This record gives sequence, structure tokens and C-alpha cells, in this order.
Amino acid sequence: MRLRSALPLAMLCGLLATPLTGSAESIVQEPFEGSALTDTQREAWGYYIAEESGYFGCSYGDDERLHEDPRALLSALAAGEEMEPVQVTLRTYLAAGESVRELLQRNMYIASMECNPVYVFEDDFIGHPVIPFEEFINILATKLRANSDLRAHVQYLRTVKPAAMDVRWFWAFFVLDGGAHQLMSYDARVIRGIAEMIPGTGDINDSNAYWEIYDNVFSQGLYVSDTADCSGEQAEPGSGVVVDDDIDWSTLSGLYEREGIRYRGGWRDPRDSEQEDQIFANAQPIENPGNPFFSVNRNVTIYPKECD
Amino acid sequence: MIHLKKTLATCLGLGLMAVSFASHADCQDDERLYRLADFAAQKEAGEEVEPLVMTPQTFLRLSENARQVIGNDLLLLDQECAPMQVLNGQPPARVEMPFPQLWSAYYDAVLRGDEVSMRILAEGFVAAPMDTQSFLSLLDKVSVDEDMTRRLAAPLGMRPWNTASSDRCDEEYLFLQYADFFARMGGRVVPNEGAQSWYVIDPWGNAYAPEIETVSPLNRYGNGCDDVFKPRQIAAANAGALVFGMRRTPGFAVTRQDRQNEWNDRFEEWLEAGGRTEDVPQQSLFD
Repeated sequence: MRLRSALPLAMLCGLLATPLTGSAESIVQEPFEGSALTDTQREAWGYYIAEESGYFGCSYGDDERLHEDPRALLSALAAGEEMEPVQVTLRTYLAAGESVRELLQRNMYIASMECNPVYVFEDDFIGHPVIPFEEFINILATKLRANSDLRAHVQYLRTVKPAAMDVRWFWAFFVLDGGAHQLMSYDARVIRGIAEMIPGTGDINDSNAYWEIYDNVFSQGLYVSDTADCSGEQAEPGSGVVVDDDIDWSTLSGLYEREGIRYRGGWRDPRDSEQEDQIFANAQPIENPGNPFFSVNRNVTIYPKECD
Repeated sequence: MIHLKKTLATCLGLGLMAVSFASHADCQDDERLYRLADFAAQKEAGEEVEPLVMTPQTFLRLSENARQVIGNDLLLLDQECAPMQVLNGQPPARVEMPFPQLWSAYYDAVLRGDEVSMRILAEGFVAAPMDTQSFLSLLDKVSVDEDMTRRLAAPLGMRPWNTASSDRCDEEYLFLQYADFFARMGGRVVPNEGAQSWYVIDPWGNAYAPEIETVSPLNRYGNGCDDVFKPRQIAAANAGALVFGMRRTPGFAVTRQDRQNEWNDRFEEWLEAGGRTEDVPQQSLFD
């Protein structure tokens, strides 16, 4: 079915002549853009997103057409061509210029990790997008840069939900100390500052800032995947996945206790404290792990909450 | 915050999956929702429009602006995917909806402070019945802070449980169970077998469904300062189940099998005596 009308020719030509935000390749906003994460860490994050959204039966992310040839896609939208609706992540949508958003609104929906439909009408959403925590933080930080009053962003906080995560993904990416925050392209003070602004957060430090935020916005929760019929999970993120390899067991066990996750065992101190961090000293490779990025055993067993 | 994984979470999580499947399988939203601006432009130009067809999950999440623009040009799909004309923004008769989807829509409406959607939900929808086993998973505390508990309770005229009212607990903590909301939204529990669902709440607050030999253990409520005997008893009764509250039982059975036998025996005695448990007042706004 054709759209009711194409845009007036003059407007169409104007839009196509105008450079897209930055360049034709920059419509899509990628996770961890500008960060110092390694390829392995980015792949691991992509695995988490694919796995988590896969549970709900869809694939989260920006439409392939936006990656391949955004200009052709926008031209087709402007011309009112018949096509499948365009899936757009919230970050990409919000970062797009006004004219691009107007075009996208002609036939689009906002991507959601739980595959629930989120339609757009005049910049209002019909539905609540569930988005990866990294994206949630990135959008919030961008909004706060434009307007530092959190009250101006209450609607965002009450409409958009950070997606659920296996707790191991969370600590691999979001339990960071001091300088490790820079790897994620944020100064630790920025993240602490955001955490302090959000109602309900407690004492904030570098290590707990992200999880105080996650716990006090309307997130879908941290959990432990049950791959072993409640006998416990021992696989942990490999050292190459963990962003802050200085993380210590006391911080991690504190997170488990705070989240009500039962555990047994603990990381051992390295034999030579000058040689290795705990995260390296304890890691025993797992043969054929179910999740290729949870590939080591560090003598800890954690239990899904529903097994309590 | 709400955790959407197994047990109770499975119940709600399956409901959310059902949201996505319902929108993409038999009951589907109108494709014009992907380009609502065109629909709005047609109406503004005075053109005749075909009503938009919509699932309840989407209907209950319409923005105020969208609701005004769409008006009564809307056909709402019921559980059988039959369309019904909306009148003055409301379905013409109460629409039955699986509780996980109804809960999700209600929670989202409270989250965004959408009083219109809350009112439409309260007046136009009712929770579909659940069987004995599924209802057990609702005997769990809604995992939100006290502020959110109050916000969820107020529009439905509910009063949260308060742990301070228990003699086992000094501190005050407000909570509600999913089962409380289910009953409030007109939900009823129906048996897997037999004439009526029945549960036994033991002195520790564990809820047992002898019909299906399943237990909803107390420890799912967490922290230990919750006396859930009465909340569970009342929630189950409000949902139409028979409830045996076993506060004190001399010589209480030790093993699980003994307990099961004892409860079955007591139920048989109760049936023979022709009696019933103490009536608990119904608290539903959806009668």
C-alpha cells in the first residue's frame, strides 16, 4: 500500500542535498561509540543484546537498511514507497536531525529488547521501549548535557526501561573503579553525578555508581541465567571481556548480596600479590562453554533467584 | 523494580512475550500505527478513515495526543481477536485480558502517570481467570519500593499490607502481592481439577495447593520480616479460592508427605461436615 502522499518535490530535494548528521554513515548510533573498549568487549556486548532480545523472539538494533544505505532509505520514505516499517533504536532516533526524524516517522517503530511494539506519533511514544543499559545511560548523559536539571527528563526516566541483564554481564561492563570509567568514555565524576541526582540512591562511589543508577530507575532487573537446573552457575566472563580487570572479590560479592543473589565460594587472592589481579589469578578455562564469553571458572557458584 | 524471569516472573514474562507475539501473530495492531501521522493528516483533512484496529496492549499505552486524534475511529480486539467499536474512548463491554498483560499495562500507566489509561483499564478491563497452579506464582510480593507500592495501590483504592502490623516484625514496610492486584482486577482462580481451587497456608506462610501438590514457599517474599500468612490467605480468598489457614496445629506433621496427608484428611473432614472457611469480604472493584 502506498503512503498517502510523497513529500513536495522541493522539500525532498532539499533533504537529499543536505548532509545527514555528520555523514551518510553516521545516522546509526553504535554502542560504546567513542569508548576504548576492545573488539572482544564490543562483540561480547553484541552477544548479550542478541541473546537477551532473542529470549523475547526478536533482534534488537537499527534496521539493516539504515546501516547499508540510509540515504536510499530516506529517499524511499520521502517518496512514500511501500516498504516494511523501519526499526530504529531510541538513541539513533533521538540523535537524528529533525528532518530525518520526520522522514523516519513516516513508517517506523522504536526497537525494544522485549520486542514490544513502540510506535511514534509526533515525538510521543506509544509503548515503553526496553533498551540496553549502556544506551540508557548514553541517552541520559546526552540529555543532561543539554539540560542539567534531572526534572526535565522525568518523562524519559518513566517511559524508558533498561533491559534485564544476567548479573555477570553487569559486573563485566559496569562495575568500574576510577580510571576504568574512562574506558567507557565517561569520567567517573559524570556517572557519580548522575547517580547522585537519581532519587533513592545511597552512598555513591566509583564502583557502585552504575548499579545504583540501574537499581533506582525502572529497570527490568539483574538475574542469573539457569542453565543447570538450579544446581548453580560457575561460568564467569573471561578476563578479556571484563572492562575493569582490577575488580576485586569484595566488590563483586557486595553486588551479589545487594541484589539478593545467593553464591558459594569466592575468588582467591593471587599467590603473588604483585604479579596478578584476582581476576586473572583465579580463572580456569571452561571447555565448550554455553556462552563463549562466560568462559572461565573462578571458584564461585551463583544461583538463579527463582531457585531459592 | 520488577524482575521478569522465572516463577512469578515466568508468569509475567510469558505475558510480556505474549504481548509481542499477540502483536505479531493472530491479534495484530493495524499497520497504519507505524505511520500514524498519515492517519492524523487524513482526519484533519476531513477525509473518511477506516477505524484503526488495535490490541488492548497498545490501546492502553496510547499517548494522550494519539488518543485525542484517533478518537472513536478505533476497533479494539478482544481475546478472540474479534474487533469491537470503542465508544467515548472505552470498550463497550469489559474486555478480558490475561493478568500478566493487564498488570504490565497498568504498571506502565502508573509509571508514566497516565490517569486516563488507568481509568480506562479499571473501567473497561478484567483479568482473565487463572488456574490453581498459575495463581500460586502470584502469591509473591511486587518487587518495588514503598513509594511505587503506594502509587500502584492508590488508583485502585487498595491499601498495602504493612509488616508492622505483624507481631513478628518491628519495622514498618509496605508491600502488595501480585495476587492482590489480580483479585482487584476481577481475576478469579479456577481449579485444575475439581469444583473449586483450594489452598492451605501453613503457620510459616507457605502456600500449598494440594490439588496439584505444589508449594509456593515463603522465602520468595525475601527478607524474613514479612508475615505473609494473612496477606496470602486473603488474596487467595478474594480470588475465589477456598483457603485453609493453619495457624496452630497440635502435633503438626513433620515431613512433607505427612503434611500433605494431614491437609487432605482435614479437607475431607471439612467436606463431610458441609462447612466452609470463614468468609472474607470481597474487595473487588470489578464486580
